Amino acid sequence: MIHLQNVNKVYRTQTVETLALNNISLEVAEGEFVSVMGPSGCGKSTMLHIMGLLDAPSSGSVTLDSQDLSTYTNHRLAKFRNENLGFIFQSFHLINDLAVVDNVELPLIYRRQGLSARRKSLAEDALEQVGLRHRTQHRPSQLSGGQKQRVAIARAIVGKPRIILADEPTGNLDSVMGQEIMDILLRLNKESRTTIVMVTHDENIARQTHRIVRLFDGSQVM
Amino acid sequence: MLKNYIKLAWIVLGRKKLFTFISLFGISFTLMILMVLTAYFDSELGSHPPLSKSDRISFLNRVVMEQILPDTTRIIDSTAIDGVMANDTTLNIGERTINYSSSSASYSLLDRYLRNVPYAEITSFFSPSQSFDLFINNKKLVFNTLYTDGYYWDIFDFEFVEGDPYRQPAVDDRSPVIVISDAARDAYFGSGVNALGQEIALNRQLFRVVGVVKEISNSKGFLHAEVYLPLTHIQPGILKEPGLMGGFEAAFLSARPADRLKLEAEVARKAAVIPLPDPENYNTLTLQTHTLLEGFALRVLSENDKTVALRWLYSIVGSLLVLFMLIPTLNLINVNVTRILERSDEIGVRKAFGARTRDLLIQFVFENVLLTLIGGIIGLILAIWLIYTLNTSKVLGGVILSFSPSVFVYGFFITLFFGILSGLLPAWRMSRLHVIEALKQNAA
Repeated sequence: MIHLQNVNKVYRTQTVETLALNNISLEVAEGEFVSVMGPSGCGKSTMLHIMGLLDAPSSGSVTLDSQDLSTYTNHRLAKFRNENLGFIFQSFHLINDLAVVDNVELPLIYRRQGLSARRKSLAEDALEQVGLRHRTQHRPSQLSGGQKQRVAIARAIVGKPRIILADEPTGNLDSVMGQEIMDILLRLNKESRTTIVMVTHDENIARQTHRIVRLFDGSQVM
Repeated sequence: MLKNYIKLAWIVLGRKKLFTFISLFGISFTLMILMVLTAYFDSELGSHPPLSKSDRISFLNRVVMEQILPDTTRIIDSTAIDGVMANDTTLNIGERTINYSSSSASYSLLDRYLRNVPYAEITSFFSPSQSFDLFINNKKLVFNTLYTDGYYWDIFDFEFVEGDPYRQPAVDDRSPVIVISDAARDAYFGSGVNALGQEIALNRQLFRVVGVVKEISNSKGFLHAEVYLPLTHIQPGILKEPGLMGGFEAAFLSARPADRLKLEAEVARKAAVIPLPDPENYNTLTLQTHTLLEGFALRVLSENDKTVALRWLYSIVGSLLVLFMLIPTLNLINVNVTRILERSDEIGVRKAFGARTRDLLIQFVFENVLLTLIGGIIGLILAIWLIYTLNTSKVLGGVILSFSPSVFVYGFFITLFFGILSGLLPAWRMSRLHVIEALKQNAA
């Protein structure tokens, strides 16, 4: 489902050149739940961003769902992200000006199909799945951290993407809340066979996934 | 999609109240000033009665006599060329004005030389700027007077609220007839009283009112008066004064607007054949004609040269307009950059979930357009209020401003254009922001 081949990522400033990813090759199968671990600054998030087409590799190739995306324009990449990928961020990144249901509806708006009522109903279904059906009209600022992350998950799954990329989704939550989020992700992976790649610092969380990929200083550790 | 844009824009504008207030103030204030300024210029220079034919009228109200002499200056420079002194002489051949005199024209000048100017369909002579004191019911009234010929009423289409103007035969016969303004009627006879056929005593002579005109702005001396009299009633002797200068002005109506310049050239040509009364002191005569706009520029800027005055007027008005439009634009751009920067997190999220640069541009520009629309409506209300206040308080003298819907539409579209522009620039910059950068800048 996800195939990284000899991926390198170099950040250059006028004086310094930093190798963030060093020759990473990785295969994630459809329906697999993989966690990525490693110390801070080892390139975990960079790898996730490259997988999520939010950033381009300096060299190497990224293939998602058997499609080589290196030649895609920004416009096509945006469309591909919209239809195939869902993101969950450590700091939620909800839009505070919008109600919960409008936040969740966001990916469907950019899909440019379906009526507003249909989109709303899909968003409510997604909120149902994360147990927040009763909070549709709340603002993100009125929710707890765990609830915010559940809204973020609902937003990631509303478009029924085949891949979910989660960047430390439990990082800002206590262990109980973290486990709740993890349970939702596990259920999602199991019931709808969504491929999930999750960056985490938490060994207990990581152990619940199918496989752990470890990075150190930009290189994959076996 | 549109519904979402409106909803979000509404929420954002409501949340950032200070920002919204500053922006709205800028937009509405600009529109208001623009509307009032244009209303003023329209009232002063537009084609409205009694100046409906203004594009065909040339005015002559300045006769200039000068003594211009050839003036040659010789400059001798000495320079050393190869160690030998040499003289280098430069001659500047120019002119020098030693005597200058300007005034409005005498009746005899106009009557003798400018009665039949080619391209002039109608020619009228008149003398403004005189006044009579009248006492009625122990109250003193000052009536400004215009002595006119009968053709005056054919060039200037005054709105008659009662009766008709006097015609040329009545002028030639020295008929004791008079046209008064409605304000003069109200002051002299009482408000709303029918004045036709009634008499007014001026300078110990009784005049019968034959017409009442709607009062007009006192900013135009050649039109504004309380009483209009046949010019044959002017003090004896004035019409026969032999000099070139006096208290008269002329207006020429050409058949077509295109003939106006030809007419002015003909008037200028006439100056060459008019003998100067005092050739020892004056050797050049100029008859200065101008249009309504040029006249306004000359008057407002106290200039002598109409071309220079017009250029100045255009520059000043143009700069003011640009400045007035630029202030809210720069203000909006500035506020927008800050506002959109604060929302980089939102931009990142939207991009991650599939928003294209175009979607974000439309969203942010839409917010600005909505803001401009609201500002436009407030500006419209403010402009109507200000015009009403200026008219009722008479701060601008007799100038009556009228609201012009077309000016509002133009002004509104210009503001909208700047609204879009001011939203587009920062939005374009921000929408091109890299997703990762956008997400890093601000975390919710």
